[in-house]
Amino acid sequence: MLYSALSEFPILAIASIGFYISLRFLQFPDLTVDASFMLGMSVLGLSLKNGYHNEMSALIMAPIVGAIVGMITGFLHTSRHLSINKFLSGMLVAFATYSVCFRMCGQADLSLYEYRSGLFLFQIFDGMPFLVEPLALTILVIMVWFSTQRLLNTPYGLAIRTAGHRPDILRVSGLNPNSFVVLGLAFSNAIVAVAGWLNAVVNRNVSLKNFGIVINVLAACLIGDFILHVVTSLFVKRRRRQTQSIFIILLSPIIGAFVYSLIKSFVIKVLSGQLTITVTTDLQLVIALCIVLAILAGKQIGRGDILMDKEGI
Amino acid sequence: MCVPLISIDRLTISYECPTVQEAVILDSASCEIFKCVIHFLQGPNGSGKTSFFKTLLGLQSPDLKFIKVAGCETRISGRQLACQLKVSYIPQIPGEALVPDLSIMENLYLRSVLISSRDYGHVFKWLMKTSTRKQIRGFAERLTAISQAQKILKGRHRDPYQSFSGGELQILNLAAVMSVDVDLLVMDEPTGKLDKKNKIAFWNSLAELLETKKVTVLSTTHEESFLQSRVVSYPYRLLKIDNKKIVLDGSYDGSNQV
Repeated sequence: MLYSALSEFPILAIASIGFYISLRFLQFPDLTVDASFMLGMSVLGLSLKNGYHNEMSALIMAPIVGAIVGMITGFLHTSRHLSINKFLSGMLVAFATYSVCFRMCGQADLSLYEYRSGLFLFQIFDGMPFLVEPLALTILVIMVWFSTQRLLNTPYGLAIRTAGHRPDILRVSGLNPNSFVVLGLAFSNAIVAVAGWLNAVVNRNVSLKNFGIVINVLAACLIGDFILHVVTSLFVKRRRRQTQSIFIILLSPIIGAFVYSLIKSFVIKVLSGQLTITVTTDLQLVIALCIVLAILAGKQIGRGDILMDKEGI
Repeated sequence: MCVPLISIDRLTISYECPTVQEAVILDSASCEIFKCVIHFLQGPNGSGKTSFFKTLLGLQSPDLKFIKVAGCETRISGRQLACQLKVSYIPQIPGEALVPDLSIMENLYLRSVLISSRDYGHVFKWLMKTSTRKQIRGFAERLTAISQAQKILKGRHRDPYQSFSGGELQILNLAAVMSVDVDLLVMDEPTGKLDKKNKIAFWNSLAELLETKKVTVLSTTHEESFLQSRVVSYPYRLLKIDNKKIVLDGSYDGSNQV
């Protein structure tokens, strides 16, 4: 159970970090994330089909393509002539990107085993003890987390964090807050595209059939926010409470992703054996119930208003 | 002695209301803003003070072209002014200029960085400059120009801004924007939400800063508490909005009135 959670959580964690940037700092629940995750996979598929039998070239391309998609969403939302609603602009770009993904890959399923001779990760991790790969991926998560918090701590990052809440501060200084929204969305989608690339590599399969990663990612973000809130309200006295640094704030999607994948594998491994549920169809229902129960339990412990309520997400 | 910094040239602001056909707030109003002088703009509620300020700062659309910078003939808009001069803004509600996600020091640091951003407006310089604790500590030392800001911030560097009172926040806002060189400081009723003691403290802090820095100030106020404070020892002008025009108010007789 722990192993399957460990092997799944790095992908979800990286995607959650990306999504969390737009959700929390830009106040922009970005549905494009769903497509840019898939785009990260299909970039790998495209590069493999075109003779680049090496996943590292796709790793360079994936964030660039993801950033472009995020920029398009930001442009649709912030452009003076269009100013499309946040959800709609994300959705439009996501739908358009699905088509592009299929065109890039040509087929809905592409196994990486056909190209195994050239792939770097196969050569390293095949034949290793079975915990090595999840641990290596966890180190990757820590690297992404560290570099993200470092970037968001620069004055540029501070401006991105301002653009969602108080755009007038930027406008008075002669800067355009819209450009920071576009930049932030590009950044977040680039990270998610890397997660998509990682998903294809870890599962050894480019699969364009799993829509709806955005729901998993959103669940992970909310759970993480919630856990962090409960922990602070339990262990930090109210008078001593300070603003969480970005270091801690960005920890919440990672924790959330871990807990979410733990719940998921718990449902699959434990419950499906004892209760008579068919895994493929009832899984989402049981996960949803588990999350609701967990939040209910935590709210009893935390006794406070949680961040999601205050920010109105 | 009086050198104009910018001049407002025939500004007309009007709103289209559903009930009234067209509400004209300012009708080709003109005035001059002098360098290193405090300007107090007065007028009853609804006379268009906030609209005037928002248009001046480029926060309102349409972005009208009505400003002439000294020595330049072409008229520019509020947004273009923000690119030419170092403009800073203190709103009536202090929280409007502070980001809820950032701690108080990060907020103040960000504001000072944004004002001086055109000095090093390149992406790479911005990316290199991480706001580590060391940077923020260095910035905190610059904030101590106001003795009160130092007192307020003692041991509370990482608190959220919501834990400070309104008067404290306004003084901190003032300290942050004045920690760098500002050309034009615009304040929209900075003491509107404060009690009398805090009001005088705020104006005294402004006076304290003006002793060391040469800044042009444009502010609205309903109150006369600034006349009891040390600000009056600095050259000031009283303006008022009268009959949709901005005119000089001659009702006060201060010795330093320009």
